[in-house]
Amino acid sequence: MLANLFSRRFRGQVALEALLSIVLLLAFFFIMWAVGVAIHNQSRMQTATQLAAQGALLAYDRNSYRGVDVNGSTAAAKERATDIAGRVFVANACGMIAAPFVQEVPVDCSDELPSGPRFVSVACADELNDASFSEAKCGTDQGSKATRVTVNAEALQPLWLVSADPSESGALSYRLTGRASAYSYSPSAEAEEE
Amino acid sequence: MIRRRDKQSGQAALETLIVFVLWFALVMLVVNVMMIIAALMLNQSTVTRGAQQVAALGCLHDGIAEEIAARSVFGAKNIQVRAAVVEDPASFDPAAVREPLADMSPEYTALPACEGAAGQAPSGSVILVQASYDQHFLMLNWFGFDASVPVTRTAAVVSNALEEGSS
Repeated sequence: MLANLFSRRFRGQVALEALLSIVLLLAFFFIMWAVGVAIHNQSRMQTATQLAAQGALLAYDRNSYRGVDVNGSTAAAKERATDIAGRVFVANACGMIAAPFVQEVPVDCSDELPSGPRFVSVACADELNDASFSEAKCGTDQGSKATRVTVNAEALQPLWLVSADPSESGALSYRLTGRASAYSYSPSAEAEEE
Repeated sequence: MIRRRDKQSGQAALETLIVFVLWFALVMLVVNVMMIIAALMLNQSTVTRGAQQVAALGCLHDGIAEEIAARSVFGAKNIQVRAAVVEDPASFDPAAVREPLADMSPEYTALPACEGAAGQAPSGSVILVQASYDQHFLMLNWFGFDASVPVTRTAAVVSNALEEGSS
């Protein structure tokens, strides 16, 4: 009788342990899935930012004459570079994958382009030294030899949506960031002056 | 008494087997999901690298398509590489990159193969490089089940190809 009772209790304990191990493994499965999604999306974010910076630099250099402001060409070039950066960024960030149990992705493939003064910044200098780059040096009468375009992008990665809006409190999410710079340098301007 | 003990140990072995099978299936699922995510990431990286080469050339070189196919990982098969160009970046619609190139709007023209300067994408235009392939589930393949999903990876770059006459 006692042995029978002990046996049943023992079997119950084994079943409980087995159930717990399966639950733990399921939790591990979803955590690893979420980690994989985070790594993939962060990688995509950084790639998109880098390609956006390269595209924006090319657009800026094509639309400005060695940094010399001719009839407001610098402002137009900046505007053009920002537009290109936004389009290239969205095109490359499109394709992010969603976390488990979440439908929203950090960057959807909508027509809405990222904007704002921090998204694209253009700085110029007379030498390739990060400390000497300044936005004020772009579009001067003398022009500049080096140009740096920096793209900063951020997006919220919804992780567990309690609220429909990932930016609201109650929704668990983290911030994906991308920051990349592209440089161009024309020492030929110096050679021409000499 | 001995028969009863045998029955109990048999039952315990069966329970252990069931738990082990569940564990095995879940661990395989974890590995499979991680491999699929890794494949998406690495293949995207390969397509991006190819796109930058296309941007430098301004045309689709056979070698780039072959390189993208050769570098694909983790069960990517039947790879087809295409490229399109949008000469006016202002008409470039980022939302279109999910569509197969064949279904894109008329602004997108297929990028020709590299055969001389004719047809070369002008510098400053937006180039889309797209690789479509079947992503096979490697773990299922190892156990004799062939399952795959179609995947498309696209990279958009601004062409910086040297044009004829430029130095």
